[in-house]
Amino acid sequence: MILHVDMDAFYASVEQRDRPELGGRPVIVGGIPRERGVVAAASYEARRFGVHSAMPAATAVRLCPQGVFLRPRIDHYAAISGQIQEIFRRFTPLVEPLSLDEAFLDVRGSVRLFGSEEEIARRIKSVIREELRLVASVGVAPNKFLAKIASDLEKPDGLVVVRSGQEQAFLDPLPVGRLWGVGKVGCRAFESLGIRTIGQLRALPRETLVNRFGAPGEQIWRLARGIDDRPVVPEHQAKSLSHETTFECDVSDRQVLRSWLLDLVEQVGRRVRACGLKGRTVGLKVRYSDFRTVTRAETLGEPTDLTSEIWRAAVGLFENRLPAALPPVRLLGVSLTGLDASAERQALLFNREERTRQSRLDRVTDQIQDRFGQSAIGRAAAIRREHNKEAEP
Amino acid sequence: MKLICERERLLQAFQIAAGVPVARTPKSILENVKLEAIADVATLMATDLEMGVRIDVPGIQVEAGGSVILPIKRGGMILRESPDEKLTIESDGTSTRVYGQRSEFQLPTENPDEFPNIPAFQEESYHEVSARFFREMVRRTVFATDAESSHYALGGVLLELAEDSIIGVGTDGRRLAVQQGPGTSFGGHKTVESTVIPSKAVQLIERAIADNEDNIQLAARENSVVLKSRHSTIFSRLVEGRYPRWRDVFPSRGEMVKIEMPVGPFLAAVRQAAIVTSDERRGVDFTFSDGKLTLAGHGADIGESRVELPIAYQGQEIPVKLDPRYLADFLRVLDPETAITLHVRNAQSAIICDTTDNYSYVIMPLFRE
Repeated sequence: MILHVDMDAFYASVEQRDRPELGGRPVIVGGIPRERGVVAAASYEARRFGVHSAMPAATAVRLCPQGVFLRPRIDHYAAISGQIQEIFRRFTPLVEPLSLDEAFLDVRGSVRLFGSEEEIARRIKSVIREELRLVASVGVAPNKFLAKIASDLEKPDGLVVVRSGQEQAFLDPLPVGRLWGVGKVGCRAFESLGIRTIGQLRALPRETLVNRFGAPGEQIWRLARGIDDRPVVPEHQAKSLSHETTFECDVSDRQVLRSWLLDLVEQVGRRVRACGLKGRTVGLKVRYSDFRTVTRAETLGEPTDLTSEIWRAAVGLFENRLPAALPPVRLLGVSLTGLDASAERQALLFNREERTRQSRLDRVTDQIQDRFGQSAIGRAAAIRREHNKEAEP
Repeated sequence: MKLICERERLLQAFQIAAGVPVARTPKSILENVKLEAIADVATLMATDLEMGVRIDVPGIQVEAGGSVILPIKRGGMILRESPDEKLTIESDGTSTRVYGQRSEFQLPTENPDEFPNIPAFQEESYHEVSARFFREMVRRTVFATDAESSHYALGGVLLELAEDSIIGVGTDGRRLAVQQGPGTSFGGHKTVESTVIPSKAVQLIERAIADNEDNIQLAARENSVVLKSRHSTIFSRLVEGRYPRWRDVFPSRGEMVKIEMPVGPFLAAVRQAAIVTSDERRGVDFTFSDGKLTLAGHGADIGESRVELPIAYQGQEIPVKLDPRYLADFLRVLDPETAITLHVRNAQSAIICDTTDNYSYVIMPLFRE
C-alpha cells in the first residue's frame, strides 16, 4: 500500500503554531494587500471567507478584512518540511516528496515492523502532531493515484483508507474532475456527454476516450479503473527532481511569476543538495489558463547543484523561451533532470573560485536552515514576492 | 542590369555568400544576396548585420552595369541546378531573369538600394597573415569554443595581434587550444581589448579564403573585425564580454613529465577506450607507467574497456582521468604521422599537449568529489 501525506494549510498552520496568538484566527500567508501580492496559503479560518491560494491579496482583504496577513518564510517552511520528511523516513526509506508539504510513502516493507498500513498512517499523523504540532491528512491506497485522492477527501486531519478490491467502489461516485489529466476543459467535454462521475465515465470504451482525447485518453481510461502502477521513487534514486505550483487564480504578472520561479528554484536546489546529487538539465514547465502546457529545457555544460546556476538557466528559459505576450499562467514548475550521483566531475579552467564560493554559500544556508529552522540567512525570495521587484538569487 | 557569366564561377562565390546565416530579423531583404555589376566585375554581398561578406567575381561580361537582388535559397538552387554553362542575369527593376540556352528562370525582385551597404576594405592599419596559416589556426581552435557560455565571451576565437605575431585561442572552460604564428603589422596595428570573432563568422572566413591565396589583411576595431583576401571582404561583430586570462591556465611545464606520443596510434587508442563511456560516466583513466600507457573506460551499465600503448616513459605511475572527447577533438586536427609532446603531472593537474608548430592544448582532468 501507498501513503500520500499532505499537510493541512501548511504555511498558515506553521505561522499559527509559531505564534499562538494567531490560533483560531484567519491567517493569510502571501502578499501584503497594498503591494499587489498574491495569497500563498490560507488557514481554514480564512478559507471560510472564501480566501484561497493564488488569489490576489487585494481580493483576500476584501473577502476577509479581519484576516492576519503575513509574509511567507519559505526557508522556514522548507526546514520544517525537512523535519517532516525525517519523520517519514523513520517508517520507510521509500519516501518521494512532491513538494514542501506532501509526499508519497511506500510502506509495504514496513508492515511487519510497525503494524498495518492504516496503523502506520495513524502513527505518522500523531508523531507529526506531537513533535511538530502540525496536522496532516493521509490517504492509504493500493497506488499513488488513489492515495492522493484519498488524502484530499476528508481534509483537514483526514485519514482515508482504500482497501484492495474497493478501488472501484471508491472511485465511481467521485466527479470526473478528480482524474489527473481531466481539467476544467475536460470536465466540460464530459458534461456535454452527460458524464459527471467516474463511474459513468468508466462505461465509455477505451477507443472513444483515445479518439476524443488522444494519448491522455488512454491514461484517463486506466485511472478510471484505479490502475496506476508508478512506483514510489525515493529521491536518491530519482532521475529527475521537480517542484511545481498551481495557482488557483491565473497569474499574468511577470514579476510575480519570477518570484514564484525563484521559490521553486530554491526548493529544487535544496533538495538536490540534500540528496547529494547534481543535475545537468534545467526544465521549466508552464501551464496556461487554457490548459496548454509547454515545457522548455536547457542543458548545462556541467551538472550543478547550485541554486544560482539553476536560477540562471530557469530565468533564462522564462524570459527568452516563452512568448513575450504571456497568456495567464495556471501552473509553474521547475525541474532538474539528468541527475547524477556519480562522483565524477569535470574540473574547470576559469570560474573555479566563483563556483566554490556559490557552493559554500548554498551549503552554509542549508546548514543554518536545518539547524535553526528559520531564515537567518536567505535570498529574500519571499520578501521580494510582496514587493514585486526583480527577483535575483 | 545585364551580365553574362560562367555558372560555376558565380556558383562558388554565391555559396560562400550563402554561408552568412539568414538574419533572424523581420527584415526580409536580408534573405537575399545583392549582386552588383561594374566594369567586368560582379560583386556578391550578403549580411545578417552581425556579419557580412562581399565577394568579387572578376572576368564577367557586363553589358549594363547596376545591381540586382537574388533570393539566397532559390538563387543558389538555380545556379546549382541549371544545365547551362553560361548564364545571363538581367533585371529591369521589376523582375529578374536568369537564363541560358536551355533554361530560364524568372524571379520577382526587391529594390537593391534597400540592401545594407557592405563597404570594401579601406583600413590603413592592419595585420597581414598567410591565408594558409589563418585557416589552419581557425581549424585548430574553433572546435574548442563554446557558444553557450554566459560567464565569459567564449563563443568564438580570440585573436591577439602583436607586432610580428598572431595568436588564436579557443576554449569552453574545460579545455583550451592556442595556435601561434607569424603575422606582420602595418600602420602600428595591434589588438588591445579582447577581440573574439564569433565561431560562425570565423568558419565563414575559413571557407571564403581559398588555400591558394598568399596573404590576407585583418583589421580589428573596437566592436568588429574586417578581413580582406584577394577577392573577398568579410566583416563581423565581435563577441561581447570579457575573455578570461587564458595564459594562467597553463601549468608550468618545468615541473611536468614529458612524454612523446605518436598522433595516429594515440587517437586510435583514445577512440577505442571511449566506446564504453556514457554521458554519466564520461571519464577514461589514463595511467602512465613504466613503458606503457593504459587507457581504461568504465561505463555504468555498458561495460569496460582497456587499451594499452607503449610509451617512452620510466618512472612513477601517474594516473589522470580525462574526458576522451576532448583529447580526440585535438588529435583529429593533426597529421596522424606527426608526434606531440604530452606534459602530465598528477591527477589534479591539467595536462598540456604541444606540437612542434606552436600549437598547444590544455585539458582539465575529471576528478572524484
